Amino acid sequence: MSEDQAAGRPQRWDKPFGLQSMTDADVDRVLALPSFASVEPDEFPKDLPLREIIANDGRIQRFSRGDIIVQRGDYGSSVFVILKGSVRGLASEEAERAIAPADTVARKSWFGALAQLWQNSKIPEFRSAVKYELGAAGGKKSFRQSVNRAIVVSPSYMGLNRRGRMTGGASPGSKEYWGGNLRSNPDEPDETFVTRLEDIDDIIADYNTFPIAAPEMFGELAAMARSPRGATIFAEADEVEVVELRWQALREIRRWSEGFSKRIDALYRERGLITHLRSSPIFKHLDDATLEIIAGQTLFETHGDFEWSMSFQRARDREGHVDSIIEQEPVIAEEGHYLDGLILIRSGFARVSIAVDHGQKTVGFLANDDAFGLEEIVASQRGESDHKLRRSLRAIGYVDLLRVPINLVEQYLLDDLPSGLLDDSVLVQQSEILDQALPTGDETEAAEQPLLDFLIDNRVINGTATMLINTDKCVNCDDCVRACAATHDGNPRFVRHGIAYRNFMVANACMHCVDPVCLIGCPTGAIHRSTTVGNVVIDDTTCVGCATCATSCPYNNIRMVETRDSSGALIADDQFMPIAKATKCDLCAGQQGGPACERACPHDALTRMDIRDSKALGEWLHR
Amino acid sequence: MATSLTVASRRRWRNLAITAVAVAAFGWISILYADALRQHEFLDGWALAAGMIVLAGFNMRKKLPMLALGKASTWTQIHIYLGYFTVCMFLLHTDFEIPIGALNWALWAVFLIVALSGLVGLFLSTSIPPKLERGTERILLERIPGFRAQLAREVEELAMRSVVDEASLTISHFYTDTLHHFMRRQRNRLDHLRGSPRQLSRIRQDIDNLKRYLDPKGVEILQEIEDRVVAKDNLDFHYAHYMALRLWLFVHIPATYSLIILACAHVATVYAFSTGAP
Repeated sequence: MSEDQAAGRPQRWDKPFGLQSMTDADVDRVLALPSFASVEPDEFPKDLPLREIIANDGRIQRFSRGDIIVQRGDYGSSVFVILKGSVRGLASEEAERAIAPADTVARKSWFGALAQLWQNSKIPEFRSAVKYELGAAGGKKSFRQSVNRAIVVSPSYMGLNRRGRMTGGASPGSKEYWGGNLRSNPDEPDETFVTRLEDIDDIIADYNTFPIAAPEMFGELAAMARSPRGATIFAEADEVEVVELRWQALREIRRWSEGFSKRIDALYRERGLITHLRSSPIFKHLDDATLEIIAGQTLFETHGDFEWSMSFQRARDREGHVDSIIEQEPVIAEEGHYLDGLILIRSGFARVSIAVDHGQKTVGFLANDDAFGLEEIVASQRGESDHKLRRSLRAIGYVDLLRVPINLVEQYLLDDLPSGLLDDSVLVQQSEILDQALPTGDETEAAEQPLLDFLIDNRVINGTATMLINTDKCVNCDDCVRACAATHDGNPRFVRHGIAYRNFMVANACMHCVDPVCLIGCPTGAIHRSTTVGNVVIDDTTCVGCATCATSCPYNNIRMVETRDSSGALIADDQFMPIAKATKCDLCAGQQGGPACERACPHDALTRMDIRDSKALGEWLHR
Repeated sequence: MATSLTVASRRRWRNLAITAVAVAAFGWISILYADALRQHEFLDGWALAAGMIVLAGFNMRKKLPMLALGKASTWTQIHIYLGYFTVCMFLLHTDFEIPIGALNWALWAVFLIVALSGLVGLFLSTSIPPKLERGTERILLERIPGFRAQLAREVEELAMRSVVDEASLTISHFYTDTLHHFMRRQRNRLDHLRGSPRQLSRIRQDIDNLKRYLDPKGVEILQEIEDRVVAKDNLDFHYAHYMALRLWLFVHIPATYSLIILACAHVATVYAFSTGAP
């Protein structure tokens, strides 16, 4: 046996969620919670014991009064159960706006924009230490300013190791923090970033909030559906203790414990399902009583791989293309089989296809709130056919869906179904991509099909501001690249190259995805959605250069760069490792007039587009 | 089936119509101006100067992408059709005659160079991009030298391998006589711009002729070399067209600056030697 083999293959729990595994006493505390009362250790397989799951996929966190535990919009992938104390959630949009940190980039004035001509650095990826000291200025007090983000400001970047994690090592005294709110536990060398609200009495008095006390659970919806957190939750008292379980633990415990699964489902029914159903155009005409009946019998399902970006990248890198990616997409409902419920997509994307000879022909895709199977149910009720599916549904990446039993749909939905709903169905909209994107008449259907396949196979449908280049018009003048550099301190934030279908190129620029998998795992929240317009942006001051986002991005649209100081030398940490930062397109946040790349193209060859807007896409391609 | 006009076609016809109307209106005003016994050269001269200032402003727009000065594509449309308009103004201004005097002649010649280079640029900008779809994908200009060097290295290694593995000098001689020259740098630029594949065809014929002297392994090596020759030719094709897309600007922009200087000198001269109301 070689030494490598003797060293052992990396295992799932080599690195626990916390800095170290939870102790037996901690696990006992967790298992004593009512949330886990119905969980029987015997239900779990021997190689996946319950106690190990909790010990390794969980960690106990302690918060002080005002500490924000989860912030609305964050892509958290964990669930919390309160062990001690109580927390509060913000129940209104107004309250969320009041406490939201200001966008990190303010819009430039006309002169400020022009000044970039002479202020842009000649040094690539230059970073000024002064920049990291901004923000500590005083001023009129408000809730917004009472948010102390724990941001590293040390000009020498001391305290950051090359993986970008805060360490308690070498020189703790040398660290400075904007707002001075780095939470530190003397018993543990780990230190994590925490945002704290200072005037929470005023917040509670002025805004609508809701309490959650021990031993309740929260955060399960976002963890299950990988949707953004729906509300900001902060510690109401000092010494709040919570156990945080990452989604892998949630998945395992739900899988092996029926009682726990039912409890989670009940929580979702109680907290989110009715709201979700009401937001769907199919259900919104129903009254609350009917919705409650439907919610009571609706099933939750997840399909696909939660970390689809990794498997997608592996498949693409292995094959060199994604032509056969459909074979890896789990089938949710298969053509020819009997439909057992109306399927409603909660999050993610699903491919709709029909069988042609020995393959599948893509006819559309479904996203949030889209339904599948309604046409079949209606046709069946009209006596035109039975409940046999005419199309198949596959999970593109990861899909979270609801399945509403057919009898409920027939009983409550069909009679009062808004007229025209079927005609306006998403599938019809998707087919418009083909109708409008490519010339009709002269083109055969077979020639049109690859466009839809291209969009779906390459997961381009995820983009809300995808950079598209019409190569029949692009003269490679690079005005777009120069404009990008001129508005980003001399550093272009995209590559004018990418995957292409015919004359339709998807350049390597951040697409500002519907499902931004890059946000998951960011240790500091540096990559986040802008609070005003929802673009995915990176706060350069809080980025620790860990490259988690760049690795997660399935489109290779985030680049790690090594930063330089005013002399052009690489900025390094105390171990002489270069300080890296994640960079990407920010849609020219703070600039005048929107994305400079699009405005700079002299031949109208470049646009930024929401790929799901089939009408705009068709018009642009067919100009 | 009747073919409907695309957005670009509709825009082209609309802009042409607007330009034609503007030229006709200006021509008519010039005639009225002349009928009033006034010198129309001052009217159309200043219109020409104004047009040229706006045309030159496009370059400034490109240099200021950080300002909200409108989309560059809109500026391009204005540049093209205002360009047509100024050409017409120029013809009106010169009374469709070749001017007299060194300064005016120089101005006339430089204007012609700017206008013609602009038209050539417009033709190249619309005709070349669709041609670049040849091959599997668009190749970035700045990556071409790297790819070319890689291919040259691979072909050299294959030629060397044929000597070592096959104890055959056929391929290595062909490499030193023909391929080395072809692979070393950009070749056949004009042929690519003309769309002629003759040089590649000749090399491929030469490669084909060598097969009779080779054993199956040697043929395999030769096939690998041929694949790289085709790839190199594709790089040359892209490079030639990319250069064409850029080179016209090296005529158009310096000539524009010369034109502005000469136009200023022309205006100063005209006013220095003019008398009375225009």
